[in-house]
Amino acid sequence: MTDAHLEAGDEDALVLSDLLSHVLDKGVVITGDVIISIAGIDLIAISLSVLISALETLERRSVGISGRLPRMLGDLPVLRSPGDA
Amino acid sequence: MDAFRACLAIYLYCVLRATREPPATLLGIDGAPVRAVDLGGLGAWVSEVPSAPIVPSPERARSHDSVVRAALEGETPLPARFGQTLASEEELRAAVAERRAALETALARVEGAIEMTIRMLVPRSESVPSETTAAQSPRARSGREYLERVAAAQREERNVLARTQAVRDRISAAVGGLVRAEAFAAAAPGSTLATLSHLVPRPDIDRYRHALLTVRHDDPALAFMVSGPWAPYSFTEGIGT
Repeated sequence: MTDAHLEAGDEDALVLSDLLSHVLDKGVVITGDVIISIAGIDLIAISLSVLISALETLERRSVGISGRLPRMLGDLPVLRSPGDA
Repeated sequence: MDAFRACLAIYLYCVLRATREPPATLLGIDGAPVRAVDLGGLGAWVSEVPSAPIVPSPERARSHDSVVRAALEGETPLPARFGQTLASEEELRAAVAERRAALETALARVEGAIEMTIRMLVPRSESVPSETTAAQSPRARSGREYLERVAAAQREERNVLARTQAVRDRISAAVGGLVRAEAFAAAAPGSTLATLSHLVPRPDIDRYRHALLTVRHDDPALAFMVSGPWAPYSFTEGIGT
């Protein structure tokens, strides 16, 4: 067992699931009938379960939590910061 | 051309404090060019889409967020939820006019700030099924056993809530001075994931991250991760439909 780190697939899954849970489930609604079809609801549920499962996988893979999460903390804000420009 | 345009609808990405033109090359859902609409003081970024409902997909969700992120390069916008289409600019103006005061209040609240999102993984006892599972389980040999299972599940939910609150309190204490607002979504029954969202003024983002790293260093047993910056998706409540 080595120090856990985010593999490419994990990171993609985490970023996508975080994206879906923001975009599909949050945000201003100004139309009376916002259309999130059944497929959209499934996407939210799937994305959250992917997020949980990816985190739990990391939990199992790591020797100690302290070795993993600081790296996650450093790695996950991969989304571009407007302040970084 | 008129017949063609009649088949299109306007897809909404975000509402802005003032009309601001998007970058000329910015593309939205299904590669459609994004344009600004003047809403008489407020502004919006939209693109044209087929009038049929926009079925969500990861690609379209990415497109939606990338347009919102382009707007976030300037003054903080109010991101729209995915999937909102309007028949015309007039319909958009009417929908915005109806909620104008609430939109202006929300825009003032998020001005100069971004959202950071913390996912907290709350451990559960594997031996305790959720209340739903306990209630549906056919294996209870007696009424008493069934009630004991339900009681154990309820105790576990209370324990999860208490553990979540402890993590939340620890994080809130560390970043409290740096955040303008906080939104919290508890873990759903049977779930292990709770979400804490913070509205952070842009100049404080680095200090906010550093405060969380300090929490991690001081208390490595807390399982959480942070992502962002996001547009303030979680801070648009109170606008109504």
